[in-house]
Parts: sequence; C-alpha cells; structure tokens
Amino acid sequence: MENNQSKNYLGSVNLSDEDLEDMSLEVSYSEGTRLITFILGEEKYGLNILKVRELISFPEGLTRIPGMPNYIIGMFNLRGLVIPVMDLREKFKMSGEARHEFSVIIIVEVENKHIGLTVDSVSDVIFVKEEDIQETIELAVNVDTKFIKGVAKTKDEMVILLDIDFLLSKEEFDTLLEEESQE
Amino acid sequence: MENPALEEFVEEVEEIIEDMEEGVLELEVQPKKRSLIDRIFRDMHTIKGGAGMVMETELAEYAHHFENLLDKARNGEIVCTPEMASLLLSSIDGFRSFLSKIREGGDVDQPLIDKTLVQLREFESSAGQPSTKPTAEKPPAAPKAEPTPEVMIEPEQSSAQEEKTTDNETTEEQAEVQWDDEDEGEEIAYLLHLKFDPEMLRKGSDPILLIKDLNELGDLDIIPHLGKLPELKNLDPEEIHLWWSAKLVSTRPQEEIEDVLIFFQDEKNEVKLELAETPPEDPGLASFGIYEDQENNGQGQVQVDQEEVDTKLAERQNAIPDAEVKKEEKVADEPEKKTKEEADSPAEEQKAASAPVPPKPTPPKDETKKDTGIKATQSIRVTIDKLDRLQNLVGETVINQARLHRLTEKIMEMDVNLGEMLLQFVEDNEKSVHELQDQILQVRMIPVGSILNNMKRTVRDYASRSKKKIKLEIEGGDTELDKTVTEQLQGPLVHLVRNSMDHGIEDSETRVKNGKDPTGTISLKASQQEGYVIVEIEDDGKGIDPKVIFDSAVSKGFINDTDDLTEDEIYKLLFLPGFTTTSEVTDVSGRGVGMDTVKRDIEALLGTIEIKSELNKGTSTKLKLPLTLAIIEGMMIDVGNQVFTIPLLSVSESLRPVPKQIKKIKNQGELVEIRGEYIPMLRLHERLNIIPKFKEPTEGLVVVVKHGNQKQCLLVDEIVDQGPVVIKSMEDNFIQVPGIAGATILGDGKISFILDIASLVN
Repeated sequence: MENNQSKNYLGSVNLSDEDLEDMSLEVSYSEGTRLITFILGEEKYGLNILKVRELISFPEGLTRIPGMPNYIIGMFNLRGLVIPVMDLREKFKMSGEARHEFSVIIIVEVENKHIGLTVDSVSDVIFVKEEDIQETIELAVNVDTKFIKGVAKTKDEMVILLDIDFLLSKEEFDTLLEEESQE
Repeated sequence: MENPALEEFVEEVEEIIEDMEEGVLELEVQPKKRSLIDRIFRDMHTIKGGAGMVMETELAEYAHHFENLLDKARNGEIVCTPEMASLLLSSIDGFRSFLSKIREGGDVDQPLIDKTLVQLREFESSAGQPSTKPTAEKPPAAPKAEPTPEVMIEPEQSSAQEEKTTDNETTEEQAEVQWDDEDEGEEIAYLLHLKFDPEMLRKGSDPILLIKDLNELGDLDIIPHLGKLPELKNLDPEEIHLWWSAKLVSTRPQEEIEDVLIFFQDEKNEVKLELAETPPEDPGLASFGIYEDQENNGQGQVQVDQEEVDTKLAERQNAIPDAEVKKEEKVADEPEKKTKEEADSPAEEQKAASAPVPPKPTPPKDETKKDTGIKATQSIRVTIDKLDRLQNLVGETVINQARLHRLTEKIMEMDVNLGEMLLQFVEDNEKSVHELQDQILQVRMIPVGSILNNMKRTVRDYASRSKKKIKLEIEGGDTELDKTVTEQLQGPLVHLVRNSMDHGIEDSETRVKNGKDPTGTISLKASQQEGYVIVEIEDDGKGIDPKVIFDSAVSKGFINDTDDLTEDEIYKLLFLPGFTTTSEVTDVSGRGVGMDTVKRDIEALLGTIEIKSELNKGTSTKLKLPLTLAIIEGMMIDVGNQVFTIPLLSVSESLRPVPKQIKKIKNQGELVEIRGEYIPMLRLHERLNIIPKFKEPTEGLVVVVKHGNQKQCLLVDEIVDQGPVVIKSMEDNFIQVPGIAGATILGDGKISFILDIASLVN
C-alpha cells in the first residue's frame, strides 16, 4: 500500500513506468534493503521482504493444474484465495529431490498476484547495504542467471538475490502456455 | 490508474453523467422546467469542481464552458431549447471521452471535444449574445487548444445570426422565462437557526456571506436577535453579538441548501436547518410573536432564547390553522424584509414577482424530500475488491463449518450427549453463516434500471436521425442483478433495442396505414423469477415472418427446404452466425453479425435468450439471466481421484454406454451413439493427462455436455456430487489455463477446477 502511494505521488510529475520501477521502495530506502533469506539446494537466496506476504508449511491438499509444466505443482486454497505453487527446485532444474513434507512455502505478491514458492527452509531476515549488493555477476551458480538480480555479500556469507518480478512476470507465465503447446 | 482519488473521481463522474443524461433527456421534453436546469447545472458544477481537485484541468475547463451555458439558462438569458438539449447530450459524450482517457490512457476524442465546443459557441452566440443582461457581457467562453473555430463557424454563423434576429428583439421576453415548475407550488419552507461563534469575524469569515447565499436560494425572511447586544461603549466591533432566525421559501431541494450551510457548520457555530411544515406563503415566524416583539419594542429588547423558539416551533407545527389567521396581518411587512442583493439578481426578482404561490401545503412531498436527503448519507462506496475479499472469507467460513459438522458427527459416535449439544450449536451457526453468505451476495446486486435508462439515449438518438417516432417504456428498473452481470448486459441490450428500432418499428406513415399508433413503442421489462432475472425487450413493430427466415436460411444453406421446423426452431435460426434477413444494411444493424453475438454474450453470462414474434404485432426477446455470476450450479466429477466441476447448465445427461454404442471412426476418434445420435467422445483423462480409474467408457461414465448446438461426450470415472459452487478466477493469481474456466473450493477445502466446456467441445 505504502508502495502504491509513493508511486501515485510520483505519478503526478509524469514519470515513465521505468522511472517508477527504479524508484520503488527498495531504492528509496537508499541505505539498503531488508531481505528474507532461504536455502535452496546448496545455496542461500534472498528476496526483498516487502514482496513476501507470509510463510506457510506445505499445504495438505494441492490440486494439480492440468497441462502445466512440472514446476507448477498445483493450486491450493489459502483462506479463500486460489493460489498456485511453484517448486523452485524444479524451476531451476536443481539436482536432488525436494522433500515437500519438509519444505516451506513463501507466499509472495507480485503485480497483485499471490504466488507460493517452495524452498527447502527459511533462514533469516537480514539487512544489506546497497554498496554490498553487486548487480552484475559471473558466478557458477545452479540457477539460470536471468532470474538473478545480483549478489549480496554480508560478513560471512553470500546471498543470491532472486529477481522475483521477472520470475513471476506475465511474460514468464505466458511461456507456460507455449511450453505446453510445444509438448 | 493507480490513484485512488482519481479512480473515485471517475466513478463519481460516471454516476453524475448518468444522472445528467437522464435530466437532459427530460429537459428535451420539458425545456421550461427549472428544477431540471438546476439539476443539470449542479451535476456540471460537481464535475467541474471534482476535475479541478484531481488536476484534470482540461476536463474542468470543458465542464466550465457548459456550466456557463447552464448558468445563463438558469438566469433566463438563454431559453432552453431542444437544440440546447442536443448540445448538452454531445457534451456528455465529450465527458465520456475524457473519462475513458483517464481510465484507459490514450487521448481524448479531440475532434468531438472541439466540435461540441464549436456548437456551444454557435449556440451561445445565436441565443445568448443579444441579451441585455450585464452578465452576458462576459466574453463567450473561448475554447482552448483549437485555433480554427472562428474560421470553421463563420459561414454557418452568418445565416444563423440572420435567422435569430427575430429572437433578438424578443430578448425581454427571454429574460422573463416562465419556468414551468415555478408556479407548480414546489416551494418548500425551511426554518433556519443561525448562531455563530462570536470570534468568527476574527477568523476571516462573516455571517453576511451565508445570509447572502441563502438569499439567492429563495425568498428569505430573516430576523436578528439583539438580546446579547452590549451597550455601544462596550461593543467590540470584531465580535458577533447577534444571532438570527430565518425562514427560507425556496424551490431548491434541501440538499442544495445544506450545501450552502455546510461551510458554517462546526462545533462552535449552531447552524440548523429544518423543514417548516407550514404552507410556504405563510410568513411563519411572524406568528410566533418574535416578529411583533421586535417591531414594537425596538432594538435590544428582544429576549427570545432558543428554547422558546423551539417550543413555539413545536406549537406552530401543531396549530397551523391559528397561523393562517395571523398571516394576514404580517404579509404586508414581507417585501421590506428583502435584502438589497435580491434586486441585483434578475431571476430572483422575477421569481419573487411570480410568487403568489397557491396556498397548498404539500406535507407528503416534504416527506419524500426528507427521505432522499437521508438516503444520500446512508450509502457508502465500496470497491468490488473488498466485497470479493469478504466473500472469500465467508466462503472459507462455510468450509470450516462443514468440517465442524463432520467433527461433530465423530464426537456424536463417542459421546451422544456432548455430540447433541455441539450439533445444536453447529447447526445454529450454520444458519448464520449461510445468511451471511446470502447477504454478501446481496451487496453486489445493483438495480438493472441504470442500464435500462441508458437505452433512453440510444432510442432518442436513433429517433432523431430516422423518420420514425419511437417511445421507450421501462418497467421493473428496481430489479436487482449482480453488478458484473448488469454491466455486461449493456452491450446485448443496445443491440436488441437497435434491432427493434431498425427492423421492428415501421415509419409513422406505414404504421398509420396499418391502423397503428404513429409512434412505435419499445418496452423494456425486468422482473425476477425463481432465482433468475428476466429482461424482456418488446416492440409493437412489424414482427418477423417465419417464412422469410426459413427461406433466407435455405438460400444461405443453413437448412434444407425439405426440413420441417417448428416456429420456435425457425426463430432460433436467427442466432446462427452470419444470418440476416434484411437486404439493406444500415448504420445500426443488418450486417449479419448481430444476434449470434448477442446470444454468445448472454450465454457468457450463463443466461438464455428466446425470440417470439407475431407478424404485424411485434417482436419480443426474452433474456433469462442468473442473479449472480459468482455462483453456479456444478456437477462434480472424478477423474483419477482429482475432482473437476462441470457447469450443470452445460450437462444434458450422463450414462454408462454398452459396447455396441461405441463406434470408432478412422481419423475421427470415437463416437457414442445415443438414441440414434452420434456424439463425439473425449476421454477426459487423456486431455487432462491423468491416470484414471477406468480407461473404458463401458466401465466409467459418460457425461454428455452441450455448447450451443454442439454436443460432446466426456469420459469420467464417476460423478461425486452436485450443488452450488463459488467461481474463482484463475487469472487473479495465475494465468488463464486452456480448458479451465475457473476454480472453486470444495467442501473439504480442496480446489476443484471448473472445466471450460466451450473449449472442450471444439
């Protein structure tokens, strides 16, 4: 909400959408960002905490969506909302099998859509200064770099920043349908 | 459009425009109804003010031009004519263009805006310019952003001017417009109690401003109370020592007067307005004795306090006959009481002069006015979003309720007494929860009248372009329908009404020849019947000849001329894509992309459509719509332990075929023969990529679904349940998935997908 309003305010001075993106809250706290970190396979990942709505344990009844790729593992009912769940391990084609009964679902909100992401476990909430975030990276990580925004270095570890807006963008979702029609 | 203020503004203006459009259409018929001009002026003014607030300056300016016009009409400088009504209607189209610009981005329809502004100037210069009133010397509103209007209007204007010269000579008459409704006795008397904060002047405000405003609203009798006036040597000129009682006789509605008062109402000021239930022509206050005291005793002697006035007011209300007697004595004093400002306003003067109002007290009318005043403050605007959220939560409560019920049954097995007690409670709770669910659905319902009334404009515009005379009758506008359904009904409705006007109603000549009223009638009727809303569009036109349809269908190859069809079946042919009977294509219909679209739209709303016609008597189209789109009747089926939902409306039957009913055709898949009809079969598990319990139709079950005229067999494992389900959109949090129309939450809290029958059939 707060985010929205700051956009509206800026909207009256005729900024383009791109400008607005750049000026969203992450950056307006110019000193840094609060991240929620989680483990996926061998690595630690981070997500802007403002995108996270809640954390839940793996739900009982997940209904598979016909015609969707493996990493969309189904939909479930969260207090009357019908929410899809994406298995990040599958999405990033990581080795090793996810043990869903132990995994945690992070409910994120992107473009007014609520989506669940399965992760192995949630670690912490950390604060990273802007100068500690490295935007361009050439790293040997398991994840396709187009989903990665950068790397944050804290005193004893390295956190990979997921580009959640791209991962869950309309364009990315539209590829789900293409993948299906190719099958 | 992320700005909530802007969003609210657009919604508000949409409502105002609707009101305005209705007002203008009425004005066209009764151009001399003052209350209509006032209403339209108020609407225009609100748009202007609101637009200014949200920084839509172009819109504000646009509204300003028309507000000026209306102001002149109010003051009698311009006579309202049907041309002016047309002009105002085009301005409404202009506003709509602004709104869609704000809502969807893009540009306003600048040619339209310019055109209306040019028309406005033409109208003003032909009707308004010659007025002798000083206010008319204001230069006519110069539309911005278009340098050419002068050139454009020149040729026409000269002739227009000539034609209007006769009008110019009668300006005097124009200034003395007799408003039809002004001597209709619609005047209402209000009693005012005006007591201000003594410090008010120091804050830059002044009671005289309010008094002036009130005086402009009608006939104002005002009495100062001098009781608190100190001696001259103690008098602080910056303090207010007076308070006032006043009686206002006005034709304006109470809200308008309250609008004036509102700026003076705070905790330190006592500003009250109430309806005086006295005949308006009665001097009112005079009979309280207040008046006399003041006159006789002179300054500083009046000691009337609030309580006394109130008791007298109360007495007064119970003793109208008494007052009637006293009135005679005081009526002569009245003119002297008028303040000087009044003389400056020609309209007011005129009004005062023509104010020998018939002494008809109209208490019931006052009642209704009061009612509407209260209504306005009792409704609030809520976004559909919030309602959806509420609905979700209630849905969740219903599911929990079902779980609770099952748990109670288990407890019952273990402890009957405890179980009984719990069951009682659970069942009570269940009632409340269902009531709650009903109520929330109810909130989404809006009267269908709003869109029926929109048709008035459609009919008016069409009739003014064609040679036909058409009257529109509306019935049952208060019938309620889900907001989404109502909105989506608009398109099909316009289509059907246009069809009636274009193909149904004959021109006056033909009608008279056939012994009909020269004016054709189209009636729109809405009513509620057993969980459905029926909307009927009926015309008394020439009707549709079933033979013509039949022949046309044969010539287009839709049917064979040997086919034996019932009348109903023939009318159904009208819904076939590409079917049209008219040889001539007009700008409103006849292109053959008509009824099939209407049918599709209505079916998308889960409704049905039916046409009946009688040659030379007229045509009637009946739409049957569900009250809400949020809930449908569903059949829950199981495929490999996953439950899917099929809209019951699409299901025609279900069966387990015997082997000889199954036919395999090379390259065309499987067919099921049902009573001589061969229906293609889709194995749902293959389509949905699920491992089923039964792979063969002879073991499982076949559900026959239909979409339009096409039928399809779906192979499923079994039918598990049937009942109402709440539809949730897949796109809200995900994307539209092919083959799936939506999702719903089952009694156990799990999700079931609603199959999109249309896509499965094809």
